[in-house]
Amino acid sequence: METILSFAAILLLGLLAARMLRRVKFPAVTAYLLLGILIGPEVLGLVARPILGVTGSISNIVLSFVAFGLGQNFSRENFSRIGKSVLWISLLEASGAWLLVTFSCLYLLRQPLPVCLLFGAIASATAPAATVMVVRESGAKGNFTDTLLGVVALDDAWCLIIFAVSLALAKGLTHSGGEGFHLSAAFARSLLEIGGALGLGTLMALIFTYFSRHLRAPGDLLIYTLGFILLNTGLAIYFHLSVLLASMFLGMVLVNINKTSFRFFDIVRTVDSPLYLAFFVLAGASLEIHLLGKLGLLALTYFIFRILGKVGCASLGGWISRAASPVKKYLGFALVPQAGVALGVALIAKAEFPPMGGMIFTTIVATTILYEIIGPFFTRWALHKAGEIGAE
Amino acid sequence: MGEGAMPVAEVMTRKVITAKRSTTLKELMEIFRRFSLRTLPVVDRENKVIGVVALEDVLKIFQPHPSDILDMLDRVPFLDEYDDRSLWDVDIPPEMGVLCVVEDLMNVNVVTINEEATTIQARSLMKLHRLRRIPVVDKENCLLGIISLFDIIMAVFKQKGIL
Repeated sequence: METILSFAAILLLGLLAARMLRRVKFPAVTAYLLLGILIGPEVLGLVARPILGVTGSISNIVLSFVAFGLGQNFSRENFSRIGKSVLWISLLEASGAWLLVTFSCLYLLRQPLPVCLLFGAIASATAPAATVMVVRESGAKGNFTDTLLGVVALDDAWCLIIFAVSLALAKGLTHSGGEGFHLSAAFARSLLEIGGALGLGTLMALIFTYFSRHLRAPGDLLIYTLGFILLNTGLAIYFHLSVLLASMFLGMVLVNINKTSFRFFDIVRTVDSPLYLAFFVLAGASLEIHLLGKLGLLALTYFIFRILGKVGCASLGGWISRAASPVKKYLGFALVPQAGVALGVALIAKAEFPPMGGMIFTTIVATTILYEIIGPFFTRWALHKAGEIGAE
Repeated sequence: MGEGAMPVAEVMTRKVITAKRSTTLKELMEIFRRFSLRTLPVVDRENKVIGVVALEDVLKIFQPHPSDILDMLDRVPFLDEYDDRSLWDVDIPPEMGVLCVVEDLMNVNVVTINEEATTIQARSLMKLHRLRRIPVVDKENCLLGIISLFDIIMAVFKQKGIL
């Protein structure tokens, strides 16, 4: 199909799919993904090949926007407001899923370490959209619900950080893995990628703030902000630095040094919806359906150990932060859904690590659909056991 | 300073209706009603501007979760649009009028302007941030007055001899 017509079909059919699947309580992200699979080259073939060819660039741009926005949650003021439980639980359940999936892939399935690291990192993500939807539908409220919402709000930011570090390590291990393998060289390379990204994000935030005083109109504000996000992303790619960390640091430093930075974040949110829609439809269209049959044990291991990591380490976080008993017992179960950010970073893995990246991406798409079907039941069950669904 | 521009301090309204952290919801609604205002600066004991509270912020009391959690969720990507429940369907106890205070509702993100700025800069800031009133503060962030589009137009009209 012609490129412009393809984009029109993606946007309009995406909107329609989201509306239709909302009736059966599916979040919009899942609707876009399923639509992408349907109109992708392996089923109906409605997406133009040139568009699929730029999916890697689109995922870098979209995840830069996402990381920039999530950086806003890392303000001094926000950290002083969020409770100890939210911080500990979110940090531990994300890290727990990462480590457990990494080690299970490494020792049970004997997969290469770079691949295991990436699988583990993707496992740390959750699905705020699905969780919020269940909370709204069930009318749940109380301490458990508030802790859960706080945890899912922070979780994607931890996932991006963990993924960026894992990707840098995986690349370091892969590039140093030939003749004369040196672990120290792999770590040095990874540290350079991470440190450089932090330096770039910080520097760009300082320049951004300095020149922002010359802005005069809301249109300028939008163009200026988009321009800087893209410049930061482009420079990170050019210098082989972590795009995710550079973007998150741009947002993180900006929110802490610029009193009116909220305007920059707000204005980006006015234009991101169509970009996100196109991103998820293209993610679905990029699925290599023939790989689904080969997943088997890999998908099963990922599926089970991610849940174990979430449940076990959320309890540990609750125990350390002396959270209420229902939080310690059930909160991890409410974190089973997985969607948006996991798919985004899986697309990056696909682009960075061919051909294993294709297997990683296919596993994540397949498990995402499964998690989106059963995850909400786990969340509802946890809210019910915590006694925060009034009528039930 | 541009041609015809005046210092904000000369044009601003010095008598400002403000709210405090402890102002109750009931008192806030009475201020909105009496003075036909829809936005108020919030000040602390030292008269420093610590936030702004708008009529839209009152809608937060219809939400079942704390505003800091909702603010964090606002920054999370890929969330579906919130389906607002009908305001009439939400159970709110009558005590909420005195139990809910401005601190629970206010927005700490506030655009201010320094007293030494010009009316041209004030107008630019209004256009840039789509605002009609901006609190004027000194170097310590203490509230000195408020400048509105009305104040600027009046000042220009007086200067041109229209009024």
